[in-house]
Amino acid sequence: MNLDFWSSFKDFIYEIYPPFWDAVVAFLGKYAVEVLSAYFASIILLVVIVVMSIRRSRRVRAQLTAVEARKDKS
Amino acid sequence: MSIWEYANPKKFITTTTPIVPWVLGLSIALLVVGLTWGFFFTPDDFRQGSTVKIIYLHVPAALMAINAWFVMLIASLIWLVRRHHVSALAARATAPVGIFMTLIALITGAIWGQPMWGTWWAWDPRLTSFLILFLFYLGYMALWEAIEDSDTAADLTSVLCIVGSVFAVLSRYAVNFWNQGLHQGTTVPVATGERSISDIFFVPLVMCMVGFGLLFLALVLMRTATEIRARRIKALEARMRG
Repeated sequence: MNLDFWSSFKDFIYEIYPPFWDAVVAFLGKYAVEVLSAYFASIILLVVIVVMSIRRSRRVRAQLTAVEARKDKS
Repeated sequence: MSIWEYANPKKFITTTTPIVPWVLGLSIALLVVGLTWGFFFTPDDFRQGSTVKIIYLHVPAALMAINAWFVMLIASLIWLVRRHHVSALAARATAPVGIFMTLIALITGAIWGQPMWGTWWAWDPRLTSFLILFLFYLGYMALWEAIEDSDTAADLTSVLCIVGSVFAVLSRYAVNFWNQGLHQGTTVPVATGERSISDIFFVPLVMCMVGFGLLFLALVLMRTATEIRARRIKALEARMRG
């Protein structure tokens, strides 16, 4: 990844919805995309690990209940 | 009451299950308040500009990434010495949380480094040891998956964890060991208490650090209980087959 890619990425982000980005840039200055990217990536990763953990916990709990029920029957 | 009572899987699950939602809720509340505070209500740094706001994610994630490995180390040593299955499963449950924290620290560090250092990555002692720690996490998780017998897997992963601890220590103290590289020293040295950060940034940072710590605790407790249940499923299925 080089600087050209980063500049193109910034341009792409700015073009999505200019009024919003104007406000963001007014608040965060010239590093708006960097700061937002860091927050976006981190929050996504945190949500992924929490959701993964909860879903696996529920799935395994249900599996255990099913296996215990089968064991009681046999 | 002894701490070893919690080595009983049933006792561990009955004790931790009611606690987890509260710890998780508290961690999310602290993170929402800390990150909102840091993002919206702290000023830009005179040198770093608004990129200073990345500190509220990068520092707590890096701290937890290293501490997660130390938690795994302690759990692995308990497994090797006392052969408590819960400790081996706790080490296994900690690794995915640790790798996510490492990933957050690496990504936020690279995003911060690009405008501040002029590069996404440098082969600096701290960065390099952190990358190796990330690879150790991958190897540790892969080793658990690769070995069918859980006791053998626990033995081998425990040894790997002890070896990897070198890089966990290096990740934390590389700046002190080698006075070179781009990464700055510790912002909040616990030993001396002489922090190089203003209160205006420090308070939300502490809030985020506690939030990350509690999130880590909640996830590890939840995932350990899941590993215990998964192990029980395996044992029951083996018994029914036999």
